[in-house]
Amino acid sequence: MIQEAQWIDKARQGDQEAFAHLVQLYEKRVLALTIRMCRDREDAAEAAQEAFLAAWQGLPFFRGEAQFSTWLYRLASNACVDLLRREGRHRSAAGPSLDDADARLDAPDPAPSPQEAAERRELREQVAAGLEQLTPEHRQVLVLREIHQLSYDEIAQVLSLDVGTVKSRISRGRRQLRKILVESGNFSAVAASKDTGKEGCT
Amino acid sequence: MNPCPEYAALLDLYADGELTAEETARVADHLTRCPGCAAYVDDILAIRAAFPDVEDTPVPEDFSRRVMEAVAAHPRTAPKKRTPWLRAALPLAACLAVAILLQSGTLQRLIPAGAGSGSDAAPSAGTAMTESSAAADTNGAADTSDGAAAEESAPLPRLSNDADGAAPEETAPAEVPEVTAEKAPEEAEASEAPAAQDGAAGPQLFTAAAAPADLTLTAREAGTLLEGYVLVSETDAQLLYQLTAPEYAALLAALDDAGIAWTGPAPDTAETFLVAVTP
Repeated sequence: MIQEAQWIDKARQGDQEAFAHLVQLYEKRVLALTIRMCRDREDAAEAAQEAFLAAWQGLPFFRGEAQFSTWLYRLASNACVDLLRREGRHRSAAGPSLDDADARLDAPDPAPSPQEAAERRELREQVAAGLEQLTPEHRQVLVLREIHQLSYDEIAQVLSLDVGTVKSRISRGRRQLRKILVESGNFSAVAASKDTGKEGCT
Repeated sequence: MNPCPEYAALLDLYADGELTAEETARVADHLTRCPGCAAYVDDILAIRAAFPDVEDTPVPEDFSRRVMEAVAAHPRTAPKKRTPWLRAALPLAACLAVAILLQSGTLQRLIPAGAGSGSDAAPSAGTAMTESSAAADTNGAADTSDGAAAEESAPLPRLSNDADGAAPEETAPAEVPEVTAEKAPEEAEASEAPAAQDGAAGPQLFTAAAAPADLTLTAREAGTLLEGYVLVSETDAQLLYQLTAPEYAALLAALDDAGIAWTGPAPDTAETFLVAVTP
């Protein structure tokens, strides 16, 4: 963190080498967000690049009131919105186009046994497919919460929403995702609570 | 099973660590007795465990190199501050204009009878002329060097004539409300266009030279956010900065960070934006 703060400070003063370190530090996190907002690898890379460029141009404005990461995620989110609006590429109704399968193949597999690895992979595929079926608003908050591990306050800052809206979207997004997984029928952890017609306690 | 209604609203907050310690303990206790709520929390945690990791995110080959090439191709706007001689020139130009008006008798005609002594009238006129001086500066500085702006500020009365033809698109000074001291606002608005076209003979005194800013902030809201950026006009009423689209986008993000509400266009709607800071 100290080094990151030094890079931010140097980059603010115009040090491109320091900014390059920040790009390398955050490229996966920014792309993880833009890929799931744009749902197309090329668009995601373009939006991520625009976000980093905006960060470079805007660093003199960055006063550190929010974390650098939160600020950067907001620029990435804005870049996605701008790109989609500019090019009329709203794809909420489109099928999955994200190369998640490739990503998963490239991913390290920490599971100790082939069976566990296969189960883990299957769960991930189901969650990734379920995410694709959510509305962009619900997918966005869940990605920021679960992948970027932001707090509700931080998500509110990134998306310029009030915290109440963030709470509501997270809850609704999760319930929708859970419903999708339940209906897929083979998500074991969810299967235990499939009996959706009953209240949990009386 | 579904979570029970009493606790349903708390379960996501519980799983996300957003509850107080007391609320967390209360929900945890409830979960030991409620299979429906416990199943929902288990599901949340199972879904979380199955979420893609950041580390799994595919990064295009040479992504960071391409970003840095873009950075190198778009050098950060060099902060331009008004040169000291220009800071001095503007008030001098305003004083000169007042002196000319006083000499020609125009100012006395514009000041209503009973408005008070000369000591009252002078500051009032001075303020007004400084505003019009700055409006002229805006006109020139938007697309010319600082020096050109100072030159344009001197012939103050010509602003309304020049605005029609020489106005750069970004600043559109033709749209600046021009209200003469002799007319009520409604009348002034109605006669604005003919005055500009005809090149109205007499000098006009601007009492409400509002610049056509895309975004207006108070000095308290702006803080130091705009320090070091291109200042295109400066009056007692406002400072006007010109920002590129990325600078403007970053400013909006910084305002959001500070919890400051703003109203303005989206950053992708233009190449440059004018941001006004009022006292």
